[in-house]
Amino acid sequence: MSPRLSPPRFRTEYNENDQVFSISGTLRPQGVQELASSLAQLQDAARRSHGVLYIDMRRLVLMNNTAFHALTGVMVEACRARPELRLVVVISTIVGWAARRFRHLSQIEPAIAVETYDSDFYPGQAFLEEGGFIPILRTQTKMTWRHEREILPRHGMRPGLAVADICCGIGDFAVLVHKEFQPSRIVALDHSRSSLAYARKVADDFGIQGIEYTYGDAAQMLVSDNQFDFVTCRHSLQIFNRPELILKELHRICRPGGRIYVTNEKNSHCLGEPRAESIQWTYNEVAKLFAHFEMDVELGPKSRRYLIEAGLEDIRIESFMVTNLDGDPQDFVNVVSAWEGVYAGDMAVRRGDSPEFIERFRQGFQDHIYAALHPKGYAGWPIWVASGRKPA
Amino acid sequence: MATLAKDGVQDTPFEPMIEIELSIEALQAEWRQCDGIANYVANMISHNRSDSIRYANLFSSALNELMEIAFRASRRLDGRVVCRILRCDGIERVTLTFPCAAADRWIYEASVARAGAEDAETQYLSILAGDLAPVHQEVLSAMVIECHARLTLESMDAEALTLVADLPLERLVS
Repeated sequence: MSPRLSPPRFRTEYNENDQVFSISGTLRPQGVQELASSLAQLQDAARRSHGVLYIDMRRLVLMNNTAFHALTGVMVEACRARPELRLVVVISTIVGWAARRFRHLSQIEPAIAVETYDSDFYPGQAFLEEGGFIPILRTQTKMTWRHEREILPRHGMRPGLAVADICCGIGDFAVLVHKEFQPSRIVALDHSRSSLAYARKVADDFGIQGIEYTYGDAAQMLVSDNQFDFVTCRHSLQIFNRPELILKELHRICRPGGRIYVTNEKNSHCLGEPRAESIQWTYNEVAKLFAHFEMDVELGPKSRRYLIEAGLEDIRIESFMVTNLDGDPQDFVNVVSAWEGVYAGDMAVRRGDSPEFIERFRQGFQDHIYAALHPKGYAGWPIWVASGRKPA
Repeated sequence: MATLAKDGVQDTPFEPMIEIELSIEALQAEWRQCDGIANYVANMISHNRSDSIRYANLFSSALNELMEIAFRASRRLDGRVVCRILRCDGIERVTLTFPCAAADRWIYEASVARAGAEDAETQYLSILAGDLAPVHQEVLSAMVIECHARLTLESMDAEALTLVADLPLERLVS
């Protein structure tokens, strides 16, 4: 009996310029004939490539043995037919089976190398994920939560929802949502293992159960389609060089009728009095510095456009200002001090800025701290909140 | 109650988690049933693993291969396919019962024996390199080598076979 052919749930593509053959989706055919055109495409790519052909399987979520055997056969045959050709198979360690399956390839054919794509997903973000920055992320969340616990219900958050917090960082927002809104399920995903380890430890220390922390790539999650009523992604679109890819994934995992909730900054609008001019100069420079590393910390007010272009409806957008008057001013000071350390101490140095520039750059942060601690001062950090509904 | 006896460690009971039963005819009516059942069961049992999403992906990968074995069972037979999942700490036990004529059992017995043999990895690499082998052997060898599975067979009756796979996936995900 011949297998019934169903619409394919995978995609193959050959980028001739970069010599990259990519396979994504779910690859579970009943027979090899279902893959015939893709295998022919791979054979053709191998014939037309010079030097190295990359086989990009980072976004291959599931694959059965039939497909693995067929692909392996084509790759081995291609190397044997053209001894000068090298194949580099690129996999993601997030997909556990892939690392285990493909590790054998170089043993059976030395011209095939297997490379993993892991913590280098978003190298620019490494600045923001080092262990030293983690405590300050908790303080930031504490400060923003004062506002967001009131704002979230206006964007559709209520008890009993299935919630996903994508780019959860150290997971503290997920903990607060878990306590405040009692979701039926909450998944918290991040691509930083150190942040997730911290998140799990905090959850254990506080006896919090029920948050599903998971290691993953926000641009290609293992989560199935249409799973969540409320998908959050906070302070993260602004640090991806292609936020539309993240939004596409948020849209995919959100149930029809569910909402996607994002928060982002516009750093150049950080403000303070006294010493407003110095503060403004520094935060304008922060925006340029992030742009140098392909991150847009001016994204906040652009959120509405991004959500509309992602196909969402009923867009709601508002902004709030975290200030030195929210609780203990020292919290605000600690946050700005951490920013100075990372932005002036690491990022500006990495960009190659002069000592004179860095000194002036640091002064703006110090003036922001001065404003925050001044008895008559005011210091602010503005944040934009936007949400949209996935059409039913 | 099933028990795990390995490396002299005291037997620990496996707790039943989920069971799915359908006729072989219903399974074989649609290839994607294997995928659907594997994903459904994986999502159902993974929520309290240390990384539920990645665990579900890995477990689905293993269970799908087992369901495909049942799908490929003889079409001449009637009978039921029963998939049970049990848990003991970091190990998931899959017991998969499917119709199998007595005359065909040797195929599975040989595949399980080869998958557990000392030179299993060498044989597996030979298969990947192009040597011919029954699909069951390749699948089961892959499960042992890549998932560190422990495989056994049980005969239920004259026309059914139960394949038992202990999958220590939690430590592979962590």
